[in-house]
Amino acid sequence: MTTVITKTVAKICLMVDMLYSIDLLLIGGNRPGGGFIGGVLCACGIGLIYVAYGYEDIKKIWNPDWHSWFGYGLLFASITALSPLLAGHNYFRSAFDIRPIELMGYEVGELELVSSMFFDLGVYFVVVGGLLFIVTKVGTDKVKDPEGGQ
Amino acid sequence: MISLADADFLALIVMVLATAPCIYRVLYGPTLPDRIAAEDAMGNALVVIFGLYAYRESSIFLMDVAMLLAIISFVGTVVVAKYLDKGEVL
Repeated sequence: MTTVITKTVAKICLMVDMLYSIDLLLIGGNRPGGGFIGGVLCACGIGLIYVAYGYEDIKKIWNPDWHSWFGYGLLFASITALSPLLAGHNYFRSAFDIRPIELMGYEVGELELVSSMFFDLGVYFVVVGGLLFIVTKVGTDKVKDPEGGQ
Repeated sequence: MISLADADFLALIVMVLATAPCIYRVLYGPTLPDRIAAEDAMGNALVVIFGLYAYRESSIFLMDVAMLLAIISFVGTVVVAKYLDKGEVL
């Protein structure tokens, strides 16, 4: 447990982190960003909450298996990468489509749908799961002797 | 009278020079809190450098780098501060 200043700032920083992480995940492909850096930012926000509130207290409220996130993300990304082979295209081939957005009969914009978004989503879960698994396992490792002996 | 283009180049030079004492303190700081404070100050100076360079090049891309660096530098400083205070991180 830390001071109330750290806890309050950590809550505010978590909201900014999550919003910016989802933004980086969605804009990846045309601009700098993508699944990897979005996942790093999401892991940073959750890790900051772990540091500010204490891992033992957060574990009582919300304790997902981060290694499962890693595994399912890797499976999802692999399936996305292999799925063009079923349609007779190359490995990692991505498809895109531009659909108009209609609102009350008027065209107000266009939405670009890309299939590489799903690969980015898999990479996102791989990075979040892997980083937070390392953080929780290394952080809760108790040192027996602080002098360095066995 | 200097123009605006010269002014932001001057600001860029000043911010690059501002990182030099931070590098000295990180390398030769006597204690760990000195190094951490210097690293945090150097991170903030780097964020300003990225913002100024994005303005100078009229590019929006480096502002993403600046905001990411600000957030990650803050998280790192909080982690090391808790380690120095409590002796454990989580």
